[in-house]
Amino acid sequence: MKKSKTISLILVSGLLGCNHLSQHHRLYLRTDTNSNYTPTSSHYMGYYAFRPYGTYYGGSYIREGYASTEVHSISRGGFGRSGGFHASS
Amino acid sequence: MQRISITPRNNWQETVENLGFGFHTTDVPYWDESAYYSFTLKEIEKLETVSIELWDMCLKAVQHVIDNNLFSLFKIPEFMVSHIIGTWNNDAPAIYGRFDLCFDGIMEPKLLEFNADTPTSLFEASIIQWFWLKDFDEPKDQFNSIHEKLIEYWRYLKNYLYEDKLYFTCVKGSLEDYTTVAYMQDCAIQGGIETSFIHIEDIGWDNNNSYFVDLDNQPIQNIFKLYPYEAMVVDDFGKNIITDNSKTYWIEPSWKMILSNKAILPILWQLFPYHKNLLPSYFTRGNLINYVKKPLLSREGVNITIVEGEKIIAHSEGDYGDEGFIFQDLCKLPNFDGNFPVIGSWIIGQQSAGIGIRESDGLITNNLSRFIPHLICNK
Repeated sequence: MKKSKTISLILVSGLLGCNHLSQHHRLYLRTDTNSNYTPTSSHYMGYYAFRPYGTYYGGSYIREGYASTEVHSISRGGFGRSGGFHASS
Repeated sequence: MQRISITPRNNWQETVENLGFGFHTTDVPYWDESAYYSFTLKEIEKLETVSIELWDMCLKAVQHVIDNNLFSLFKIPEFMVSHIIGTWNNDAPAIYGRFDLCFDGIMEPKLLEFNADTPTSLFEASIIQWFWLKDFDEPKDQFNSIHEKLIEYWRYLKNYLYEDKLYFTCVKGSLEDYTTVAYMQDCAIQGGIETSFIHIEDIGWDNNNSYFVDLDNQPIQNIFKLYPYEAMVVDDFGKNIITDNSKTYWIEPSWKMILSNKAILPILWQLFPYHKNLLPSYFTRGNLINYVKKPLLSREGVNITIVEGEKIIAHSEGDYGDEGFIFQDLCKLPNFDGNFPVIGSWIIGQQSAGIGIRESDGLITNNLSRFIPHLICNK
């Protein structure tokens, strides 16, 4: 039933695994802010986006700051607003 | 099919964490290797055959729903109907689903429901239980080629995606969802696809160009989501799906809204009455005496009521049910000394790929259920 003798994970272990103690402490780190976006409005064409930016280093995402000075006609935060919902089924 | 108690591996927590499995324990154990289920090859072949047949029936049922415009039975928003039909007719990329089956090794497996949009427990089924087997009894086999089939199918789907990277997304703050998505992303990378991750809250909508964008405001053309359609389309932002100039491939495609809805169960029963692997299911209680009342949209076993005779023998609270219910003939989960397993049978692409077993202390499988590994033993 199981044909392969070896299984390799090239992403999961690096992001989530804890082969080293230092990585273990990063296990529960999220990749960016958990704060909510200002609710979007389909009637308002354009507003000041307030978005995090950063880089990946050593398998972890390091947030460096927020971009809040540019004007974008981008709405964010429209998905994922269903009160703590996650997908387990 | 047997349930066999064993001693867990020493330091199993560290072992599974090294594989990237960080949600093995919450308030109660989720990954539970104090027991395993043993199947004969014949039982496994039964599960495999039935799963393929159910998948075939489900595809016929989708066509039936579309041909007969039965979307109102599913309480699917009207604005999504054309999108659903479009993704179905265009054979938009889809990759997986998980049947939940009632099976005791003796009777015919019975379909309880189909998690066709956002099935979870994928990583546990594919990776964690496989490495458990290698430690526990390596010569034995397992019904599990999920990993290989995922890589193989992503490689196949690559040719059907837009020539752009494939994004992966889920909500912030759920390690379980993030792990599942990261694992799926891992398989896609191994299938030769360029990928990127974005939290679903971070997905933007470019009001000028009318398409979804990432955090660099670049258009998103292909995206795998672990986030259900019913949550996506609940407010105005979701309506952008149908005006999207990029015609983004959302994976799973929107036609899975039909199969992930419990309304598919009465439809299947209408189309294949008295099929050996289906339970009688209806939109009204009718003449059912022993039955399970399920919301059309429900997860983690919430808002379920089990009635035997005139008596409620199990009930779970929750926030679902506004959209209506279906009634399914009661098929009690097998009882292994107070442990009630549900077989999760995975379909990857068009193939039956393996199983994962979740076990509860009662008849309702919920978010406190345990994942129990399995093996194949022909003694």
